[in-house]
Amino acid sequence: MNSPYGHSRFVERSLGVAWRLLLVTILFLTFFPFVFMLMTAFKDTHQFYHSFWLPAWPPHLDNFVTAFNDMKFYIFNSLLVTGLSVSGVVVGSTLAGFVFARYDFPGRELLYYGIIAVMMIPGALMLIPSFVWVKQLRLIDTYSVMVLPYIAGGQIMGIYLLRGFFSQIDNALFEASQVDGAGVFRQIWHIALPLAKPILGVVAIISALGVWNQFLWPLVTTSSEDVMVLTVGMLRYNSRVGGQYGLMFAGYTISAIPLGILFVLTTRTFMKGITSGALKA
Amino acid sequence: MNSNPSLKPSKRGRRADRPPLWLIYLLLLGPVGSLFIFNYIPAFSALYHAFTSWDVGAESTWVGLANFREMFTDPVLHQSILNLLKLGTFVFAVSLTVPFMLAEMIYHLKSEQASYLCRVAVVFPMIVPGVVVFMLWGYLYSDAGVLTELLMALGLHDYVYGWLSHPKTALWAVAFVGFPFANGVNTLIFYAGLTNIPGSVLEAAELDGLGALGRIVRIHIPLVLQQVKLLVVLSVIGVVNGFESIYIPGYETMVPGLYMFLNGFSYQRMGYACAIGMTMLAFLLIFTVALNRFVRTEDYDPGA
Repeated sequence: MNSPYGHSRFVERSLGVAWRLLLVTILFLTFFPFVFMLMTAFKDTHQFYHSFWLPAWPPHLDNFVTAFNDMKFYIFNSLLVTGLSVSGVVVGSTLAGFVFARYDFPGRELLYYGIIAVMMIPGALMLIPSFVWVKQLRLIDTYSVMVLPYIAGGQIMGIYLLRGFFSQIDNALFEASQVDGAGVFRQIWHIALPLAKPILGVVAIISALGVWNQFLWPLVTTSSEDVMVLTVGMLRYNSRVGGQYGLMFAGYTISAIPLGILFVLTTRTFMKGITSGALKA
Repeated sequence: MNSNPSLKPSKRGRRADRPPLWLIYLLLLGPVGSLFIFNYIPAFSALYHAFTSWDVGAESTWVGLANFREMFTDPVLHQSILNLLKLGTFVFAVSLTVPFMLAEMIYHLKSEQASYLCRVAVVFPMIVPGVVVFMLWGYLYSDAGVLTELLMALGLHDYVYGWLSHPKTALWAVAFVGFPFANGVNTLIFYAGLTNIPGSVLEAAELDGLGALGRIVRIHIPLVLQQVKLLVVLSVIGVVNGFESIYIPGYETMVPGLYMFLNGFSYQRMGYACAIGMTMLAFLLIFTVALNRFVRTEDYDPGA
């Protein structure tokens, strides 16, 4: 950090301070909307207008109770859809990744690149034919219309990552257990899975984030409140509570809690996951 | 673990310990089958229907290149492409520069704890669903919103608009959603790039008397080009596909993705919508290939 020229040390030092100030400013501006949201979530409408910039007393926790009661089914649906999709992705990509990495069979590369190629097609551009197609399959307004395509799309990256991972494991490990009479499933369960836990965590987090934030697809394929997920439900919630700002922001805050819990519980895997998810490209 | 040579088959011997073929294909049936049903069939359907006139609930009829010809003369589409170029250039610039600056700042923090804390902080806002972030910004811009209150408090009443609905400001109001654009993922990717720069390179730079700024310009930027290339591809894909954040009436903020969506679901012109989608896909593929071809970067193992 020390400049070899003594006279520029002062310049570098003040630059360093300015640099840090800029960092703090950017972080402040980034967090401001969210802090404002959290603060306002505790206010009633009167407090909102009369104490706009500052927290108000007494805090209205009832905003959260009302908002939660209005949103709980959306949250349940989102948890269910995300849970099922992530399980499907983890199971599917473990099995396929293992098979692609360990065995040689006719059509292996063709199938593999057939799977990987789908990454090049942004799903949003196929929205209309996909919608018409799932309508023909009578999947509209079901959990399946979300879960099945999410598993299909989500496992691509999982297969890519796990094939890479499993092909690095020493073959002797599997051969030894093979000699002991272990079949494919026992090899996966007892050897591959324990080793792959960290990378499976990454796969699970990337797919959970992707599924949780899906908006356009559930918007066009579901209209019944029975299966409606949080992202689409928030749109309805937003128009229901229009003008009641405390309630509105309490709802926004609640919508962030599930991923917030995931983030707090898995911070390191989470941070690793989002970058390796991007680096797949 | 077992080093007994008689148990070690040759490389080619993988075939010998292989389970029966039917089992292998059965294990792959799920992934391959689901991708076929939910990705390949719609993709081929889109390709075919781009050449048809296809109304909701009706059979499609082959019209050859008519949809593509229409795209050349459709003023709304042209407006939307222009918007996309403006928005894209802007989003592009800020989603690279701000995260790079952030990554540099975090990289220069001496304390590992502070650095980790900052990295956690830039990622943290990701817990808020994208839709909710947009609704939050919709509020910030609204007449009871923070921006209005701020301008009122400063006595700048004349500058208060319905930013999102006013034709003059709508596009830029949309562009500024997410200000100051401290994208956590991009920041972490740049940060990973910076920490991967070999120590020997930095030592050499120090010996040459490069100051902090010199190191950034001459060493850091060239060596994170690999990350830049990746982020360029990601943000172009994001910009071209991104239209859920632009759910606003009027043509001022129309982008091709949204226009495709409206053609398909509101104007009942699904064939035309497919043609727009295929054109966008072709553009994305050409762009990605061209970028990989013409922007060669030194690959020094960026690591995951």
